[in-house]
Amino acid sequence: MVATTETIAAVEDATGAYKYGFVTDIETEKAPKGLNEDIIAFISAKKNEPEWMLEWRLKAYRHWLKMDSPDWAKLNIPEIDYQDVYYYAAPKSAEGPKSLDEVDPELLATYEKLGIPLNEQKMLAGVAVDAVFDSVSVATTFREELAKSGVIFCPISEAIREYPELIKKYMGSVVPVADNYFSALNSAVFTDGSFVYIPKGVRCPMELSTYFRINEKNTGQFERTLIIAEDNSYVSYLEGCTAPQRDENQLHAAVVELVAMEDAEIKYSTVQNWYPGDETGKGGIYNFVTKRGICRGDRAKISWTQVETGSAITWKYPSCILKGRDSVGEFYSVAVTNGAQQADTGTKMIHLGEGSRSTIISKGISAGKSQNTYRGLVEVHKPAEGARNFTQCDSLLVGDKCGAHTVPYIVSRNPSGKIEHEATTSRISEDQLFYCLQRGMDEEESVSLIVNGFCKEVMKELPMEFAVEAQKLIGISLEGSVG
Amino acid sequence: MPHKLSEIISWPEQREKAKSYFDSYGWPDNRNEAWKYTSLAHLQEAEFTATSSSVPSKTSPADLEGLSVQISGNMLQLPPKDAIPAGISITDITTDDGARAAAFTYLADNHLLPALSAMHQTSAIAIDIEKTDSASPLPAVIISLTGSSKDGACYPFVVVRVHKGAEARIAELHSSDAGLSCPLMVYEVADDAKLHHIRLQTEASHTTHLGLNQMQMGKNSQINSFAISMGGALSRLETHSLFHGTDAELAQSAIYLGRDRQHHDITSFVAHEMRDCASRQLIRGVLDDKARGVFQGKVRVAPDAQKTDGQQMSRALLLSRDAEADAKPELEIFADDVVCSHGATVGELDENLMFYLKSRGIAEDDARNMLIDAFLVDTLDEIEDPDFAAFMTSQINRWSLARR
Amino acid sequence: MNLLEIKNLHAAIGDTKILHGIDLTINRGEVHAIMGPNGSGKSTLSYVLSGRDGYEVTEGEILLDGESVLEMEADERARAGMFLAFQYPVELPGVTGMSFLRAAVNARRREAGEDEVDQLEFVKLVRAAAADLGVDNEMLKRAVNVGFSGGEKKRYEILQMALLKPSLAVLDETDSGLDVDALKIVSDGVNAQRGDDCGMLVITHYQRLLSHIVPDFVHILAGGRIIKSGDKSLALEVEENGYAGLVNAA
Repeated sequence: MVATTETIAAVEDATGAYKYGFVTDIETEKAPKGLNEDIIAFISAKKNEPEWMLEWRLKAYRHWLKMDSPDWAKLNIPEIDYQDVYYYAAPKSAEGPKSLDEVDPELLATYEKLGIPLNEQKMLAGVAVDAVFDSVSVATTFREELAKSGVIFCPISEAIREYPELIKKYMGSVVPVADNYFSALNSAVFTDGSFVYIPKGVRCPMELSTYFRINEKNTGQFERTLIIAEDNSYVSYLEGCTAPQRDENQLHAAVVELVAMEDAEIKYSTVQNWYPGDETGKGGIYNFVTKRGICRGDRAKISWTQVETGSAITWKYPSCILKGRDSVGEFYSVAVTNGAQQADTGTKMIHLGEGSRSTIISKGISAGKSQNTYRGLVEVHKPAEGARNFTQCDSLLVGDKCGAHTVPYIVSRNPSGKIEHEATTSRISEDQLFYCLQRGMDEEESVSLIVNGFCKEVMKELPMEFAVEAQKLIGISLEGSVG
Repeated sequence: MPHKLSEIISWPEQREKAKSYFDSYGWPDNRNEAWKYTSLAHLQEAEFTATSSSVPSKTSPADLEGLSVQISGNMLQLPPKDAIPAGISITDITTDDGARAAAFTYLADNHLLPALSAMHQTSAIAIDIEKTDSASPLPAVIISLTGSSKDGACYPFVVVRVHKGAEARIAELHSSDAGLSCPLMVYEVADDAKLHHIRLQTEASHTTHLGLNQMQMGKNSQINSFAISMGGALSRLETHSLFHGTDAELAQSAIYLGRDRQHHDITSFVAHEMRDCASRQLIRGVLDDKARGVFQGKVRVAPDAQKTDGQQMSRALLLSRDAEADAKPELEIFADDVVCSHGATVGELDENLMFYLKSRGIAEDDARNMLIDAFLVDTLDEIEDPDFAAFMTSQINRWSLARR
Repeated sequence: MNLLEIKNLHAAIGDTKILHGIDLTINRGEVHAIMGPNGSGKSTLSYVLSGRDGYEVTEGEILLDGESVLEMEADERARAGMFLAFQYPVELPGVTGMSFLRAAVNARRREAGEDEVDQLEFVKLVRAAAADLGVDNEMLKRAVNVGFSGGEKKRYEILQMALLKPSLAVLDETDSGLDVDALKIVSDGVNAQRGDDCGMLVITHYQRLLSHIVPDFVHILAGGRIIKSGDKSLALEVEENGYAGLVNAA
């Protein structure tokens, strides 16, 4: 099913090119600008955190001070003044709403406008949502329903208070505090995000979803997500992201950790549509994200699917550590860049377990003056007897002012491991375009159709409810790239 | 790898620049992205004596016919003038600063290998190949680079200029005993010219070999090049291929063969600066024992280099549990009307094929050897010149037999 | 009003002039055949009519329903009712048949100010049309033309024609690559669409297609000009004597 007509309608609907560029006018409580140990203590206090959590944050902060921003990506990142950012902003009304009835109507309206109704009656059946607004989670739906099957789905700030043992055990176990510059920063100042725990043998009865919204000016969003799937459990999780249209750049540095035990499966999907900035490169979100999952148990499976259309700069490599025997890692990615966007994104598949398998399918589409890089690492270590990887990276160029780059890293230390990498770069063929034009579609629609075909392998991995939305997004993102 | 396009600077200036580069950066280690898989940290402590050498042997390899040029450290042995046919000239430019500076025009700035050469080079020759009216083709020029000792270093420099419309055949044979061997070879292939090129590296087992081959291609020129690296303790061959004119074609293949604790690195950079050019690269590696093989291959397509056809395929075969293969192919593309692809595989011999051979009564070892040979020989079709092809085939066979 | 009027049409690809003054009028309900030897400009004519980039009209006029199409893009011409059945249909990896067909049909409907087709209705519609042409469900599920045989691709073209209901259908060498049985299926599909609403231009090298799709008029194209016109007997004459005689006489 192709969203071509819907795409056009959506483009027409949008007042500007970016549909989610509105600002919610709501009273906000903010920490003073800047970053120091006092600010971290303030965040920790706001969240009513136990002492050990504050210590953990401070340790991360002290690490971060000694680290340098990574420079190996094919990105031109302007100098960021980390003292010119608000690290905490919360709607005043958001302090601990107990139920949906207590959520500020203004916030409910905002999410409604974003197409994410939080009212449980109106919601997509079978999807539970955690809504994160700037630095706080404002609502989590269907919690009781989930609790019946033993599933925990709550803001991470709450999990720190309610489930300290799980947090102590798993937080930082997949992405160590000092893993990289942005993960260290996140560990020091993270404010909210989602916590998911699926007990043994439970198949989560509905899709879980977190919707991230940055609203406040000059505010960074540093969310932290932790998902634990115990033996023989299953969960499908989806995140969506938007932000208002602003002239300044805003920082988003998230950390996501996934832990899959024996025979567990975690499916993690992202539709990232942060404000990309205008076509001259003014404004937009800097999206610096560390996402990593570990297949701890045998036959565990982690599958990442991402559709990346937004952000001024994307630096993101959702990865899998395949430790369990016969564990499986998957990465399906569509990255669309247009205007002055820059994306350097890909994955890491670290094969440690015997018989572990990984698949990487990456589709990059560059238009306008954008630069789009796939960067991926596949490592087969000594114990990974019979490990398998297959990687397919295809890049499509729309116009002659953009760039498409492919940088795979392959390391094999076990002869029985088999790694295959293929990459192609091309543009939409004139023959394909003419064929569609001859059938009466205009150029924009034809391009959208062909590009969606090009991305098909990845799109089919998305949960149904979001596949249509993602298709539309791709069409919208490429608006103005032809002709 | 930015290649400068500035005007020629004088040789002393060139040398000064190299020295200040090396003083700032020194020997690279794994923290340097370009040397991620090949650290030269072991050279930090190493001291090599200034090049001193034995008198070069006068014979070229029996199985390759042509004009023999011998370079042994700072000693040169050029063919007698009357043995050189019209169309070929070979000149000692060791003291010709102008010629040396000119040859450096397109070499990368901020790069270790040209810097080392500029700082230390003690012998330099220029080979010019002109178009001739003669119906019979010009003989191959066989450059043997030998000499030095375990605690010595050699930095030979050779510039080969294939002039407009000419067709040249050049073989490089690297077989020194030096502790450090840093040959720098520059090939300038003019418009409508063609170069057949082979490079064989069989250095001593203690040698660190750091070679740079730079290929510059004019309009409508062609290069057919094939390299084998099998010697040395640690060996890196960098090839930088730059298209300066349209409609040029580069076919550039390489094989690395690793045993014991050898470390082989093939790093290539193909810069499509002009439209309507094609490059095709096949890389194969076989790694036994505790050997490690590295392939890094960047193909860059500049804005406006439309209709570029860039193809690259690298495959590594691991024969031992302790061998390692690393690969980093890379496409960097700034033009839209291109057809570019790369592929990379790492693995062991295909079990299905092994089984098929064994089911026909072939012993395990024989089956393995047959398949390994097939893996390598497959690439030799890339060599156009029959004499070169025969010579390289014999080298692979020799390695293969010695391995058994 | 005439459906299609081609007046003194000259066209070139780059510097190479291919068409040297073609005059041709087609009315609704008529089937015209253009025959000619290789290199006579047959395919060029189909591309010029449908507005392919790179084919430049240097002189003359093309009127569809009395309106000039020269300034119209290929998709505008298609929405205005022109359909080209390609000699070599291209593959569209990842684009499934149903979504492609629906996008094309909706594009025409929007142009006509009609509502978009209901999805379920459409599936029924396509299945029915497909069955007539021996296009099975499996083919409809696959990506457009990907992995199709020559015959399957041609049947798929005619299926699109059936769904889009053009006022002018240009069939470019639709018989090439077809065996006798496939030729019959395709021809039947085309004949089913003959009628008072539709004019057709059948481009072919051989007479054999024309014994299935019987034309009202036959034109011989050679050297970029129509050198002779007649009724269907002209096609038989070509069949018997070849093109050489006609070309030399002209």
